[in-house]
Amino acid sequence: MPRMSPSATAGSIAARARPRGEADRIGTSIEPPRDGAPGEHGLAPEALRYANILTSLSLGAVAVGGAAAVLLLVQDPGWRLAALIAMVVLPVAGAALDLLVLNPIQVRSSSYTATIDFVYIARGRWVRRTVLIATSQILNVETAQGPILRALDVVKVRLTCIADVEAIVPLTPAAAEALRAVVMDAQRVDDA
Amino acid sequence: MPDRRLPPGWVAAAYLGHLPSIVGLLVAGALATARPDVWPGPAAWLVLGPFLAFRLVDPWYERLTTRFAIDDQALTLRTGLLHRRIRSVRWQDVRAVDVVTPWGHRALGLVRITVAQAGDDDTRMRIPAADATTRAEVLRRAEPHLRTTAREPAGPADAEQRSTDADAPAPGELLYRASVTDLLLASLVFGQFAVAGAAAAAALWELIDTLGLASTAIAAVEGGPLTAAAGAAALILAVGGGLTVLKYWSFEVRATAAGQLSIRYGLVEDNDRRVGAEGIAGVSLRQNPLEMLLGRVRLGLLTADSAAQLGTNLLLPSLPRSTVTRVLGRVLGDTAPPVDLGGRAALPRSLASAILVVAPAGGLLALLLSRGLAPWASISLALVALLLADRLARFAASTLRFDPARTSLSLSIRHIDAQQRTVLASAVHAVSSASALGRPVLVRAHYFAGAPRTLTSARFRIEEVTQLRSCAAHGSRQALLERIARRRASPR
Repeated sequence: MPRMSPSATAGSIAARARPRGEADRIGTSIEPPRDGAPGEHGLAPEALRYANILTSLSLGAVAVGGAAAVLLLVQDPGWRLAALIAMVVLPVAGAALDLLVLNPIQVRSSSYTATIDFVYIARGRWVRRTVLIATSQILNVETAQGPILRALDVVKVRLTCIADVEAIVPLTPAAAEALRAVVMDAQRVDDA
Repeated sequence: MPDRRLPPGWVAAAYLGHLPSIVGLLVAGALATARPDVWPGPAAWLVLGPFLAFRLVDPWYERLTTRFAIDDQALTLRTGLLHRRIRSVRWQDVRAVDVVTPWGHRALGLVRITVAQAGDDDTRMRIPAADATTRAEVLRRAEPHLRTTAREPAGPADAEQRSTDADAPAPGELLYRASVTDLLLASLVFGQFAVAGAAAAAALWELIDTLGLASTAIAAVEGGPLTAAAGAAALILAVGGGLTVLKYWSFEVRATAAGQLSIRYGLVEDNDRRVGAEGIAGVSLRQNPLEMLLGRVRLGLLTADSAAQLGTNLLLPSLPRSTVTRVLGRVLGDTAPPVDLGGRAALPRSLASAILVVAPAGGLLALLLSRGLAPWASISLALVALLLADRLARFAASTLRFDPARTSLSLSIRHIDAQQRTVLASAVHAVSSASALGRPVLVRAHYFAGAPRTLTSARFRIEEVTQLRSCAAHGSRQALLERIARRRASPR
């Protein structure tokens, strides 16, 4: 998969999104990637950190909640100790698997391409899911930023269309703005 | 601001149209008052009174609060008193126009107009009553944006003149007119007889019971419960069939001179629906085992504003395959899909599918009963198994094919019945897929017909999916550009 710096990524998309005349926008269009192929652009460089933080928080919450439940519900000292160990070991093992293996794969395998004709998103390695949306059929581009995303200076982008499309997260603000510009540029054809 | 009011005849037309309901409420109230010993007695007015008041007040409320405006750009409608709402729909976004003439309106020379943009109710604008001038004006504004096939219609292209004549039959080429036999067949095939007939029979029984004649009626039926059941079934069939024929009387489909598709029907209430090409996302074809045997096919349109059937988008209740092919060609031109549902050759497969679905459920039922499980629990579990087996078998029998020549996508389901849903590539909004270990396992095409819908299959050719994706991306844009070109060409 071709890798680019965030600024290069944003720049290449923005170049396509540059406001021009209708004839220019009609211009030459490229073919969609073949099914399962990676998109042109990857997630933000902070994507792995973001995924790791989410994993740590969720599995940490599971471990704490599980331990509390064991302390409250299991009275037998022998079973209580075994259950407490299980409630710690299992999340730690899960976290290790996620942090060391699954999250890097998930981040590396997530990519997208945005053109005035289509937006293509691909995710997953062993079970790979792709979606190709006609850009002119995208109703809205929503950019959101929660506390974790804000701390990392990245955003979540959700495309609104009739299909249920998973959000692209995280992207740099510049890449998100460029993606939004591409879609809005295609929409302007409709209002011409 | 909208300043045109509903015509003065609206209140009388509404009262006339609701006369059966008003009379029914008054009769029910009178009966309830006359029989205080029968529950609920005069207390029935607590329910009937508000209904009656609503029927009497609502036309005046609509007359006082509804305003509309028609200009070059859009139709604007203002409704409500406390919660005032102003909505506009641009003529260029209109996908279908429904002109309905209920019998109350007909007596006063009025029509009800619904202008549809997409599937949601919020995108439909309804003028409860309009005179001939308003009707002609709406159709004249909407018609340039409601175009159908690439082929030229057969009739003279004097749309404006024709559309101003409210009483004229739909102009253009007649594609299909349903006979009474067709409508009766449709009533059976769609189960209309069961819905309408059963409701009418239930209402009749309720009336007999209210009049205190129930025991007399039961005593009058000689021959026991079997005869009574047969009589009830015959009554439901006759009433249901009769109501369907009455409602869809003179059902006809035309390609109008203005280049739209017109569906017109109704004896008591005249319905005239006009759909443009941009509103047509595709078609659906169906054959149940009986139709396979008779060589008949049902055709439905999938339009942007609705995927409903009889009375909105259904063209042919159930007709010979050759007729369906002819109409499809006229409606979709070069993009019309071939009608290939299998016919009689599909009957063995249909039978095998039925056995495949029913046998496991039957086996489960026998097993559970032999193990002593309660009959109601056994039947419930067997029904669940039946539904699951049906869904699984239906999914396994689905094949997705893309036809690059016609730029259309078809999902064929060869199950107990045969179905084919064909969607134009330009109407496909998105294509999603899933693969496991590098092997494609599932493809889903998303389109809009009254609501977001999908064509999903695990049986497809990956090279066709690649073509579809390319076509959906470029075709959708092409459709946009064509729309711009037409908009620029059409008068503002």
